[in-house]
Parts: sequence; C-alpha cells; structure tokens
Amino acid sequence: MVEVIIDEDKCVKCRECVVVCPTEVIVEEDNKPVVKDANRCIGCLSCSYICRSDAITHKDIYLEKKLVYDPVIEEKILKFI
Amino acid sequence: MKIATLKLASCSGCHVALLDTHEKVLEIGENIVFSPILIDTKEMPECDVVLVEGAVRTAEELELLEKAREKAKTLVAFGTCSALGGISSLGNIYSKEQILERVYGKQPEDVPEFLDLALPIDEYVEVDYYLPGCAPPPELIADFLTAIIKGEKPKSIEHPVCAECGREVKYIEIDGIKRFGIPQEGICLLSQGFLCQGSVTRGGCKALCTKAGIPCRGCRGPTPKIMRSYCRDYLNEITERLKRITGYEMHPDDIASIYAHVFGSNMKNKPVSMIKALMRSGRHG
Repeated sequence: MVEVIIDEDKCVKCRECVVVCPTEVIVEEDNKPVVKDANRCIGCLSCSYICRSDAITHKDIYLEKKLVYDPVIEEKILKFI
Repeated sequence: MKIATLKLASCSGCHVALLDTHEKVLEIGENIVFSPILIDTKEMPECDVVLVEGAVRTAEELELLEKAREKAKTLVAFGTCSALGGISSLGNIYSKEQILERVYGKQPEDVPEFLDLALPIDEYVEVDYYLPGCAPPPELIADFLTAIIKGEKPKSIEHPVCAECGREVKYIEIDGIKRFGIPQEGICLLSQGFLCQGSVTRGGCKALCTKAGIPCRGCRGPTPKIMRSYCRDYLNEITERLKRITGYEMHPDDIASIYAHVFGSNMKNKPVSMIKALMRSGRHG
C-alpha cells in the first residue's frame, strides 16, 4: 500500500502540493497540507516534484519520476557534500 | 594523514572558514603539510587530501592544479569558485581582451597567460568531492574533514535551504521585486517580494541568511533535483514560484543576480538557462 509522508519540520506550508495533486490525496487543513487518503495516489510524484523543501516522501512505490538519466551528472551529485 | 591546500582565482575566504572551525582546527591543523596562505612550505609533497580553492583563470593556475592532481589521492573542490565557478566566473560575461583593457589600459606582456573563461576545476581535472559554499559553513568543513581523517565517507546534504529556514509561505499580492527594505518576521521572503533563491539552493548552511532576513543568494549551488532535470533551471523555477505565490510576473531586468554563483558551471549547458545569453550580451555589447 502506498504511503505518502509529509515531514512537518521541513514543510513551509506553501500548499503548492494541494494545488498540484490531481487525485486530492493531499488536502489543506488548518492552513497546512495533510495526507487524506493515500490509497488514491497514482504515483505521479507531482507533489514531490513541486515541493520546495523536499518534505514529501512516498513509501512502497516502485517507480521514480526520472525522465532523463544522465550517468555523468548522477555520479557528480554523489560527490557533492 | 597529510592535508594540503591550494589557492587559485579566489578571495581566500574559504581558508578563513577553514580556520574558523573552533576546537576542530587543532585536529585539522596538525595534518596540514602545504598551504601557501597558512604555512611556510615551498614544495607540495605527496598528499592524502588536497583542498583546492578558487576557479581556474590563468595558465599558471591550470599548471598548479594539474601538479596538485598528480600528488593528491583525494582532490576536493573547496568552495563555490572551484566547485561551480562562483564569483570568479562572473568575469565570463566579458572577454579576456575587455577585462585586460579595463584593468591595465593595454594588453600586458609580463603576466601569466589569461584564459578566455574562468571555469570550475572539474573542467580540467577529475574531482573526488565537492564542498560548495561561499564560504563553506565551518561545521560542514569540520564534519567533512573529520570523516575523511577517520577514513569514512562524508555525509551528503540533499535538501534545499527552505527545509531549514522555518519561515512560513503566505499568499500576498505584490507589484514589484523588492531590492531593499526590512522583511517581516516569520513570513517567506519570496512571498514578500524579495528574490530569495532558497528553494533551488542546496542546504546545510542552517539557513543563516534567510533567518536573519537576508534573501538567499544561492551560494551552495543547485539542489540534486535541479541538477538532474534538463528543463529545470534557476530562472524558470523562481519565476513560476513567484507567479503562483504573489501573482507577479518577473521582469527580465530582475534576473541578473540569479546566476551569480553558478555562472561557470555546466548549468550553462541547459537549454532553458540564460547564462549563455548574458555572456553574449556582455561580450558583443
């Protein structure tokens, strides 16, 4: 079962994920985004794409949104501290 | 463990940050064997770690860098200038003739050959680690060097500055970018109209600037998210975000400062990046 987790410490409450979620998994409650029904998640990963603070993680989801894979850049990213 | 440092085209600020590591400086300092700024040795011996500060601007610096690579087991791009081009690479807006003309008044003869572009060091040699920052935060330097001295793999930081900032986003209508002024406490700088680059910049600095009310200038370089995708760039990320939060569409005049720290890096190869256009306009009037 898909699990969508919002890290409250990292979240800056911009609610862009609420706007962008096509299936209303993430909704707004008390001016902050809350995961309502994770079963509806289609794994488009729009929310984790748009999140400015990397606060959203998906568990038990076996795909990752990567349209381009550049081995040179991926190797370089690992070296950054 | 032998540590050496090398200074190329830069301001020595990263060396100051290296000395700013409080009590860790004793542990790090006793390992330093060569450093033109800190200690008085003339020749670089074989080293385990070489910290290179600064971009490559002249032929002399290129030679120093290549010699350092031969003698180093681990070469570290230390600071934003050597990792991503940094402030030194802002000179790429003008050609070398324009710069020399401006500084000397004529083309000089007795100085090392000036290269056409100031580029980060990974354009010339292989780099093992990058430690960006202008200057790198002293805690990060201490953690990084302690891990290296112990023989462990240093921990990588992937989250953006926004995750550390703690300011809250509010939807506020604005009618222009603010360059000066005192921001309100606790509210996101971007929603107040300040051009803050925190959302596209790698964290690890504990958001020192934004917590004090100064917009992030992106000194730690792009986050892994931005580096990975070809269609995501500083300009379109910030423009879109600003449009959604404040309803203000950014004017071309506002973009000049966005690329300040990544001008020489391979961000310029992205199709959406404005770096090459800025270079063309500077070089050809």
